[in-house]
Amino acid sequence: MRVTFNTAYGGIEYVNIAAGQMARARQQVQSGKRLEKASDDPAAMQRTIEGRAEMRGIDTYARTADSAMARLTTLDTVVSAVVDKLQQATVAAVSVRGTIATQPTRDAAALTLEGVRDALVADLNTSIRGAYVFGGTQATTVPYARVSGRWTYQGNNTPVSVAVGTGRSVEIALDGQALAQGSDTTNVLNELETLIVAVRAGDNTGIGDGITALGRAFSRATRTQTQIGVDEQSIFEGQLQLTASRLAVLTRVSKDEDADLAGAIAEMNRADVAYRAALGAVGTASRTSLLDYLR
Amino acid sequence: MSGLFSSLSMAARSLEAQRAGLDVAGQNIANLNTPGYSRRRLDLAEVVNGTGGVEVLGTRAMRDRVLDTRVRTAIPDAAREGAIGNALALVETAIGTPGQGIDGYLSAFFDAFSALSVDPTSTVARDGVILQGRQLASALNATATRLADSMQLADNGVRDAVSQVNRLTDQIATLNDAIAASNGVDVDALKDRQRTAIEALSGLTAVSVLSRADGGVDVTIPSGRALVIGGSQYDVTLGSGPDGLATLSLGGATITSEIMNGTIGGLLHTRDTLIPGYQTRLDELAYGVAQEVNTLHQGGFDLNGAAGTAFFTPSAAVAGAAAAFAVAAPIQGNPSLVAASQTGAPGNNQVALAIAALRAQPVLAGGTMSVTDAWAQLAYHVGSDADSARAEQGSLNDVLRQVERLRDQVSGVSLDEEAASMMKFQRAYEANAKFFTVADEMLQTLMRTVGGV
Repeated sequence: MRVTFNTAYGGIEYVNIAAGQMARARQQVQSGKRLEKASDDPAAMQRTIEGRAEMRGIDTYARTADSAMARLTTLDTVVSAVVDKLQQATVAAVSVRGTIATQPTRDAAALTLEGVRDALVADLNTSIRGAYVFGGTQATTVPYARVSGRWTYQGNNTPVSVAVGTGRSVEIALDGQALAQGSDTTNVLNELETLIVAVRAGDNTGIGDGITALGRAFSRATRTQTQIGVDEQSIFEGQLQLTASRLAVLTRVSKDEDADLAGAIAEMNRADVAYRAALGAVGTASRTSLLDYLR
Repeated sequence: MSGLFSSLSMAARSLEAQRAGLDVAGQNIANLNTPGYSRRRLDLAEVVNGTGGVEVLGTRAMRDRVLDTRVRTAIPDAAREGAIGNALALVETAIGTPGQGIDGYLSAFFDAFSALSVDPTSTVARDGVILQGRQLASALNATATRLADSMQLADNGVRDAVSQVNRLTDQIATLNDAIAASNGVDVDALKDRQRTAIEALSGLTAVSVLSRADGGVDVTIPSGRALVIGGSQYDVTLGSGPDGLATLSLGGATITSEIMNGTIGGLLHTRDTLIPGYQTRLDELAYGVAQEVNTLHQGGFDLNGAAGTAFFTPSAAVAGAAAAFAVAAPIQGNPSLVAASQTGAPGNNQVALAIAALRAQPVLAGGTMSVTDAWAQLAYHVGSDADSARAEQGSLNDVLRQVERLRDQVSGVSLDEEAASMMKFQRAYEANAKFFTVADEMLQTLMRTVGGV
């Protein structure tokens, strides 16, 4: 084999290759990322894009779940207040049932019932950031208003649901009519109006009917409260699942996307040695030649 | 046997021959770093006409035609892959890293609809939807522009390479003329230049080379169309296609599709096949997103209870959908026109939920691919094409280096050999000079003897 001048003094391409490898390893160590561009690992790039989108989806569910939980907390508070008020009304009505109660006592009970009625109207017309939460999807119309002297429901019976996980949704705006009226012929506000009249008049039959109606309303409210609690529990369980899912996806994405720092540092050292060796090989190649002996 | 005068003549010729040997060594050393230089060797022979001594037959460039051909055929493939890899490096910047490219904007857009589903009457949430829609549109427009720019850069590269082809073929034709005119005398330097020019040409496009009897070469592209015939050169001319991109013609025929290798072949492949493929995928993604969102949006009702209109400006065709992608002007100016409701009730969020759910639904490619999958596939194809081009270039360069090394063993200059050669000719020159001196002294002795009679 003839060793020519180009052979002896060539090899700069190997210096470039080693320098490129070292630069790549150093970049991974500095950025902590294995994927800087699509060609670094096309299949990993594809998986990472899909994984990151999956994580964004999970994060969105988590954010929605947080918002829904806040809403449900408000609903829970309001419905609990409704339950309390219905109890208060029942107590007031029971206290004047029979023949013992005097007119002033009945008037006082009627005033209490009027207060309860007004408070219930306020509860059922609760809004969050301008959207009524007991009007179904009629979020911009006040749910209960007096129309022609009667409390009338102006919402609809379509609850508003949001997705808080894959195949998991919760209701964040309720059908107020289902709470206030259910299968009764009229809503609890009108029942209270009738009860107030009966209390003032000492109409024990009317008071009895009113108390029974309040009892049914109480049952509906506690059922609603239970449903809210179930939804809150569902969100809580969903959040645990979301956290676990996100961690699993993150781990998968990280394997593709993040640099194996120990490996990258070892590779950087290896590339550095290769670079120095290539430089040394080029620098010392044929340092002496026959010409040196002819001087 | 010849006389002393003859010996003197023989010594003089020999001195001349050794000096020529030193010249050749000097020439080789002088051209150590000259690209394309083939080492020269002095051909000496014993004089056969009875006077004896040595004569210089000539110098010879050490070449191996087979290895020259191997080098010339290895260059275009490596150059093609290098051109593709370099061109796609620009395209890769348009893809970005995971979460930072179109995929991130798609996620943000669907996130905004999720937020709207929680609060369908919120103006802030509606503004968020429009803002994210505009950002998605801006990202799609920018990516389409970057792909178009990459295509234009590849086209500019083709135009530059064609002018280099014409310069090189002109040079080869001129060298052909010079080689033919020299009648075979002292043509090695011209042939070295000829070889260098042909190899440079091979880097731009694969060529076939046929040797001529006069020492010149005829050069054609692989389809057989002539670039150089003897002293005649044929320009590759540039035209303009319907899309404004360069078309190549030679001898009146369009050869754009005939050039498959070399830098031009790689750039044409990138310009005409790879980038249009990416553009189609991007357009299909943009068209699909606009279609799906618009269909759902138009099936809903806005905050005022009116029927929904197109959220994105509808594109008439898939081609160009990414570049034209935009949030419809009426919606940009009025957030209440965002249709979140399925029934017209302002609190209904069914349309917002349905649009948010598009994120993971297989709505593209005949219901087989989600929008994120479509983007991930586009990124995969760009990365895979760039990666395979670079890997291919690496292995082809290895092959090229090996063949070049083999050729260098024949044609390359060895400093040690030239040093030994210098010493050899120097010693031979000294010995011949000594012989000349001895012959001269003998002649002087003879002359003195004759003079003394």
